[in-house]
Amino acid sequence: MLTKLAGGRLFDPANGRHGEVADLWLRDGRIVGDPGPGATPDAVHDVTGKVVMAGAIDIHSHIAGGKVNLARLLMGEEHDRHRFAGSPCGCGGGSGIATPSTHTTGARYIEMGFTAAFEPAMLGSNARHAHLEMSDIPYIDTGGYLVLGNDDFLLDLIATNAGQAAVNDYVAWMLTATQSLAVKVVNPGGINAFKFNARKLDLDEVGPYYGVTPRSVLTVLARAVYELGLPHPLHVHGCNLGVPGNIATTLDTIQAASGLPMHMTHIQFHSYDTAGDRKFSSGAAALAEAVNRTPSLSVDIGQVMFGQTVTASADTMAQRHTAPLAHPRKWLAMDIECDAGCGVVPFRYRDSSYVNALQWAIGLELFLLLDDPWRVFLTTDHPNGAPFTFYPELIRLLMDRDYRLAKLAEIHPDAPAHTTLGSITREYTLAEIAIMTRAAPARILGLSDRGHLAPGASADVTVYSDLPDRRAMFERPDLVFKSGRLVVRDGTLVAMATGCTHVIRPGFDDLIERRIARHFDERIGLPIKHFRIGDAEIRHGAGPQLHPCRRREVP
Amino acid sequence: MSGMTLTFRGKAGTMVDMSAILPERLAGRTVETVAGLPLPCGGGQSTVGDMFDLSAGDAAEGLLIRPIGAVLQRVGAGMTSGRILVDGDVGGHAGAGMGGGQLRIEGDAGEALGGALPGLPLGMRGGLISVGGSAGDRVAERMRRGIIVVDGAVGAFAAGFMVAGTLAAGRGCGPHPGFGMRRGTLLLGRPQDTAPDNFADGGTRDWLFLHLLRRALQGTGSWVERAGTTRAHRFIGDVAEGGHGEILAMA
Repeated sequence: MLTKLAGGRLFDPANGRHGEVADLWLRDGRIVGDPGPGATPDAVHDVTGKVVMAGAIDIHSHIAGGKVNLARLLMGEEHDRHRFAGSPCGCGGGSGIATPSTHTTGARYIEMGFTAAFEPAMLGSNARHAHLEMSDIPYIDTGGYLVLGNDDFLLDLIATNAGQAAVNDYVAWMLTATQSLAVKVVNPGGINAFKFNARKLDLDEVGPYYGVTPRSVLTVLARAVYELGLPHPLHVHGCNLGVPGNIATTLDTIQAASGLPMHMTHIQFHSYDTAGDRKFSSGAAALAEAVNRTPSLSVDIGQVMFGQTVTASADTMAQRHTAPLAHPRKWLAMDIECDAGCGVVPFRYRDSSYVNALQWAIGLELFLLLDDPWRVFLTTDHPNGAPFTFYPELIRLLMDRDYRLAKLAEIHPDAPAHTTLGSITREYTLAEIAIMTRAAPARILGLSDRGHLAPGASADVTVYSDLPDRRAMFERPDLVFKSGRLVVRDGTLVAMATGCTHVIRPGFDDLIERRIARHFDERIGLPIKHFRIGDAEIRHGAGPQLHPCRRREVP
Repeated sequence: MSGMTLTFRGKAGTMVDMSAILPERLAGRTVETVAGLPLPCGGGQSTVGDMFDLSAGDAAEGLLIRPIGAVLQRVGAGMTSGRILVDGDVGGHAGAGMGGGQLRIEGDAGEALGGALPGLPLGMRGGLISVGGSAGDRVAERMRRGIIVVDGAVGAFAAGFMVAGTLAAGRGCGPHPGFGMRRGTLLLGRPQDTAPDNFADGGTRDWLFLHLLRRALQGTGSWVERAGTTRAHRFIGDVAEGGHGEILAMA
C-alpha cells in the first residue's frame, strides 16, 4: 500500500524542516522517499497548505496498571455519567474522562493526533496487569517505566554497600523481567519510610529502617541508568511533592544528580515557594533558571487545568497529605507488595481558588521560561493535573498570549501578583510545539524511528488545518495515520489499528538472578519464574518492540 | 394499582438498567412518550417500548413492573417519591441511593439492595423498601436513612458501613454483618449465638424500638409485623468505627 500526502507543510524538527512544502510518501507502515515519477500511489491525499507532523508522543501519562484501575473503581460515578458508544471501525467505546477505560484512552489520544503514550509508573509487581491493559489500548504505542527506589532489595543493596555493579545488575534484571522501557523513582526512599511511620522525608534525611537518604537512592539509580546506557535518563518524581517551599528540595535534587542525566517529572508540583501572606507562591523562575543552565536535565511540566480530575500516584506520603482536600470526599491508599505504595485522591481544581489558580500559572510560567523545547515536555501528568484531553487547550495557552492574558484575568484576583506569567511575552511557534510533542520525546526515549518524518520512520503522521484557534486545530486533526493506515478523518475514527509496546533490555550478570530468586523465595512468596513476563504476554502474543541500549551523550 | 404497568417482553436473561424508570420521572407522561424513552440494556441502547408492553395509566399512581425473566438492575435507584411494585425478582442495586417513596419487590433482590451506586459515597437516604424473598450481598451498604425489610435472608456484609437507618432481615444474614457500621440498626429474625466480628455483646431484653418499628411497618405484610416478640439480643459495634450501631437478633 503506497500513500501520498501531497503539498503539505512539513514540521519535522528532527530533520531540520520547519514548514517546508514537500510531498510525503508512506509505504506499508513506513515513511519512504519519493519513489519517482513512475510510482502509482494507492491513495493520494491533497494536504496543500495543511500542517503535517509526526504522530505526537506523550512521555508521561498514567494510562495503565494497578493505581489507574483503582482510580477507575474509586471514580465509578464518572463511568456511569460518561459512556461512549463503540464505533463501526471496531473501537469498543467505553467510559470515563479522567480515568478512561482502555479503548476510550486509545480513541481519545488518536483523535488528537497522538500515536504513543507511556505509562510512567509501573510497579514490578503490577507489571503484568499494566501490560495486559496496555495490550488492550488500541491505536497507540505504549511502554512502561519501572518504578524503583522504595523496594527492599534495592534499599538493602544500598544499605549494605553492595556496590554499584550489583545495583546495575539488579536494575537491568528488573527492567528485563518486567518488560520496561525506562526507570522511574518516586519519592526515593519516602514510600518505604512511610511504612515505618515517617510522614515526611527530606532529601538528606536518613530513612527510619534502612538508614538510607533519598539523595543516595537518587544518585545510585541515576548512575545505574547511566552506566547501563539506557537512552532515557532516570525519571525522577522527587521528594516533598506539593509542599509549599519544596522549590528548595527541587533545586537540591538537581545538585544531587551531580552532572548525571536526569529527567524531572511534573515539576509544576515541585516549584512552590513560601512568599506572600498565604505562604504559597511561585518558584518557577528559580527552577527555570537552574534547568536552563543544566543541559543534562530534562523536565516535563504536569500542568494543572481547571475542572474535575483524580490524582493517582505511587507517592503514598504526598497523597496522604492531600487526602483532606479530596473532592468528592473519598480517597484510598494502599501498600503494593511492600515494594511501593499507591494513593488515589479525587480532585477538582478551581480557578477561584488561590492555590489552584497559582498552580495553573506556575505550570504555564515554567513552559514559557524554559528556553529549550528539546528539554521540556507537554504533560498534565494525566490524570493528576488534568485529563490528557486538555492538551489542545494547553497548546492554545502556550501559543496565544492574548488568550493567556484573558484567562489570567479570570482566575483568583490575588494569584497573578505572585507569578510573573502576566509579563511573559513568549508565544510557542508551531516548530516548537512539534519539537516538544514529537521530536524531543522520541529522542529522549531512544525511539529512533518515531517522532520524525524521514524515510524509514514509522508512518505515524498527523495532518492539521492551520487554524488561528490553536485549540480547535489540535483538537481535531484532518487526518491521522497509524503505521501507514488512515485511522482518523476530520477528528473521527474511521479504522482500527493497534500499536506496539516499546521495551529495552540491558545486559546483566546472571549471578544477580540467584540472589533475586532467594529474595523472592524468602520474602515475597512468589517464585521468580512467575514474576518474569514473557514476550508472548505482550500485545496478545505479538511481543515487544525492542530498542537498543544506546546512551545519548549530553553536550 | 391504577398506575402504569410495564411487562417485559424481551428475551429472558436480558440485563436492563432501570434507573431511569422512576415514578416521578414518568408521572404525567402518556404511554407513547414513555415507550419512546431510551433504555440501556444488554450492553447497548434500546427503548422502553421495545423492551416492555405498557398499559395505560399514570405513573404518579404507581408503577407495576413484571420482569418475566429479565434481569432488572437498579430498579428504583435514586427514587425520591411514588411507588414501585415489582411482581418478581430484581437484579443488583435496587433502591440504591433512594431518597424517598416505596419500593416493593415480591421476589428476590440482588446485591446492594438500598446500597450505594458505584463511586458514590452514600446509599439509601430515605423511603421504604420491602422484599418478599431474599436479597444478595451488601444490602443497605452505606445506608443513611429509611427502612429496608427483607422477609427472607440477606447475604454477606449486610449493613456494611451503614451510617444510619434500619435493615430488618427475617431469616438472618450471611457472614460479616455490620462491617464498618457507624450507627443504625440491623434487625435479624433469628437468634445469633456469637457476637459478629468487631461487635460487643449488649445483653438480651425487650426493646421499645421494636414496637415502634412494627407500627411503622403496619400494612406492609412483612415479617416484622408477624413477629410475636420484642425481645432481642443486642450487639454493639462496629467498635472500630466508634460502636454506635447495633445488631438486634430476635430471641
